[in-house]
Formats: sequence, structure tokens, C-alpha cells
Amino acid sequence: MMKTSKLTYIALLSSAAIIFGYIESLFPAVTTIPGIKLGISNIVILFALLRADKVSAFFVMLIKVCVSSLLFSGLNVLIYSLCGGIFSLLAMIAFKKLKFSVIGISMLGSIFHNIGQLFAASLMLGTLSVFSYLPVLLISGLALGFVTGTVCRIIVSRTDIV
Amino acid sequence: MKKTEFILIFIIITISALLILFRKTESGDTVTITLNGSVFAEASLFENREIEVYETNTVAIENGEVYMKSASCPDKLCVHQGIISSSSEKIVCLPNKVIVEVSKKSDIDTVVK
Repeated sequence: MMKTSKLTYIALLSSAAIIFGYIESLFPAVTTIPGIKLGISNIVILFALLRADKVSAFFVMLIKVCVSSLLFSGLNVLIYSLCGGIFSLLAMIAFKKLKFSVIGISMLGSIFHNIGQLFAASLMLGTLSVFSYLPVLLISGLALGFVTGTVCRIIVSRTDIV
Repeated sequence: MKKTEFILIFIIITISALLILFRKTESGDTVTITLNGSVFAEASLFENREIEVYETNTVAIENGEVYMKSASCPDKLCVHQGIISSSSEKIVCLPNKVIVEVSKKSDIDTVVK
């Protein structure tokens, strides 16, 4: 019984993450620097990590990344999203262990998403020069992570499922 | 927010801000197009021409400036990245693995004839 409820929970959160990702992709990019994105679906993944456990969060992230790439952005983007997702989730798990606040976890998870994507890009492109985007991405990541973290904190404080 | 958290985030912001402020920008003279990690083409920044990277991307050099004229990818981020002209600036097309960079190659240009 416990297993079924967990499966349902993961499925629900995954579909929410995919929809948020889709809604976000409808808005045109604000800047031309690749990688600056609000990351609304990260709210769902962080929520899964805080309200359920890290295994659920991992599955939500994996399903979201795979389905979104297949449906909306194409398979050649999968490696970047996956790398960003894994880096971000590992960082969030680590900072959650350190008892950081929701907003802090979100901000640091956000910049690790950017770091993961740059890591994937440097592997794929065979050059380290993409890391010159890092300073800009760090600042934007912290700012946007603060926004999603604030939203996530409100949602977490007002729900008590699982 | 906890104190350690605040300090960690503050340090990251300070370092990034310093890196952005002290980024060296000088005028470049060479355009390098990298495909899949190896150099595909090199061209002078001051010769107007268009370079086709197979069927996927078209790089245009005009009056000392470079821009991505067309790309086969769906999001066209590289096309929207606009015009670059100084060294350490770059245009990246992730789906097609193309990087366009401006650099300063030769100081020989300054030799008095």
C-alpha cells in the first residue's frame, strides 16, 4: 500500500514538473545567454525532496528531463538537461543534509544546475571556453533560485501530504 | 536563512561580480569557428565573408563584426546572441556543437612597414 501511494505521488509530481517546464518554454527567452531560465519545474523537484525523499525527487527529475526532452526540445538537449538535473539534485540533497533553508537549497541547487550544464557543454563541445559564461550564470542562478525557493517555501509550509 | 548559508552565497556573489568586472576585453582580429571541439575554420575579422558550417550554420563576418546568420536548430539561440567583435566574446550553438570565437591572434599587424 505504501508503495502504491509513493508511485502515485511520484507520477503526480512528475506530470506537474513536465507541465511547468512546458509552460516556461512558451515564454520567449529574456536574454541571449544560454542557460538563464527561471526553472519553475525545479520547484516541484525541490518540493519532492523536502516533502517526500531523495529517491522520489530523483525519479521526478529523471522522468521530467526525459519526457520534456522527448516531447519539446529534442534528444540532443537531453544530455545537458540530465547533467544539470543530476548536479542540481545532488547539490540540493547535500545542502539539505547541512540543514540549509529552503531558499538557500534552491539558490545553490540552481547554480549547480548551471554548473552541470556547462560541464556537459564542455564535454560535448570539447572545450573549456564555455566556462567563461559561469560568472554571469552564477549570479543569475542565485537570483532566479531565490525566486523559485521563495515559492517553494510557501508551498511546503502550506501542504502536509506524505 | 542560516549564517553559513548567507556567507556561502555572499562569497559566490562576490567572486562572480569580481570576475565580471575584471574580465579583460580587447579588440580581436581573428574569427575562429570550432566544430565538435576541433577548429573548423579561421578567418580575419576584417574581411567581409560568409562561412557555411556544413548545412547547419552560416556565420557572417561584416565590417569587423561577427554574427550567426542562420542555424538549423529549433531554438535559434545562437542567431539571437547577436553581434560580437571583441576578444573573449563567443557565440555558442549547442545543438550543432558550433562555437564562434573572436580572438587576438597576431601582434605582427603592428609592425611598421
